[in-house]
Amino acid sequence: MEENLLLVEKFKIQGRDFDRAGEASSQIKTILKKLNIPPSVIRKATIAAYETEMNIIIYAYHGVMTLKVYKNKVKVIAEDKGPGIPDINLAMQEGYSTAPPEILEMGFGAGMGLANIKKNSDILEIKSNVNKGTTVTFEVSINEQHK
Amino acid sequence: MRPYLLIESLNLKVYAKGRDFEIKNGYTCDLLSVVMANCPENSIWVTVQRHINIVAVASLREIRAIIISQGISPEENIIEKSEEEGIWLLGTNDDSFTVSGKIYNLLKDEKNNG
Repeated sequence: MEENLLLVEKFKIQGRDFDRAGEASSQIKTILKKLNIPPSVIRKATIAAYETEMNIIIYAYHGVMTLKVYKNKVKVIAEDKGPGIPDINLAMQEGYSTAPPEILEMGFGAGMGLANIKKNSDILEIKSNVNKGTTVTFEVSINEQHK
Repeated sequence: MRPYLLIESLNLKVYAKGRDFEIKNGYTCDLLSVVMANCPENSIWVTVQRHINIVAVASLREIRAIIISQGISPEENIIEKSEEEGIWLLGTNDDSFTVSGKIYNLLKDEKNNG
């Protein structure tokens, strides 16, 4: 599989840095466009990347997002240092949120983040250790029909 | 409908000028994840959110115009960012329901007449 790897790029994300929120996703989108990835794949990967980035900004202290582009898929691995997720199944439920009021007021923390990532990816894996951090990995396939 | 025509028809405030485009759809919502997941392309987006992240969402979702409703003014840093991204940042004293209804009718009329 690794021989089909076209590109690897890392992005640092700082918790609560709302001024720069969306920058990593925006760079990911630009890279995918340059690589001529099909628009439908870019749209899905951008939405999933944005939600992943926002989760780090809203909930974690800091994190790193790694973009790996293969011939047949786009993969993002987001590792953060943070409080972790005690109950992943509960967190996956649409509408469930632990965001504080000031975050809700900004229009974030609607409890749609993980659900949006799931909807827009073909593979989603979440690993979390409470009080240590969370790793979210998702993949968007590039199928023949996209090409 | 082109932005300048909408601005004129609804007497909108212009905080930042964006690139010209054909407004085909509209979307009204204040929850950013919902907008991110559902807003159609070539939309004008109506919200009461006034912080810089609405520009990031618009840019990622290829939303080319934002209307901040209810007479709420945008935060300072967002205007420059909108200009940079070529996104129209507009304002109205109408609430979201009212301005959305007006836009809906304008787009519908245009569709019927065009």
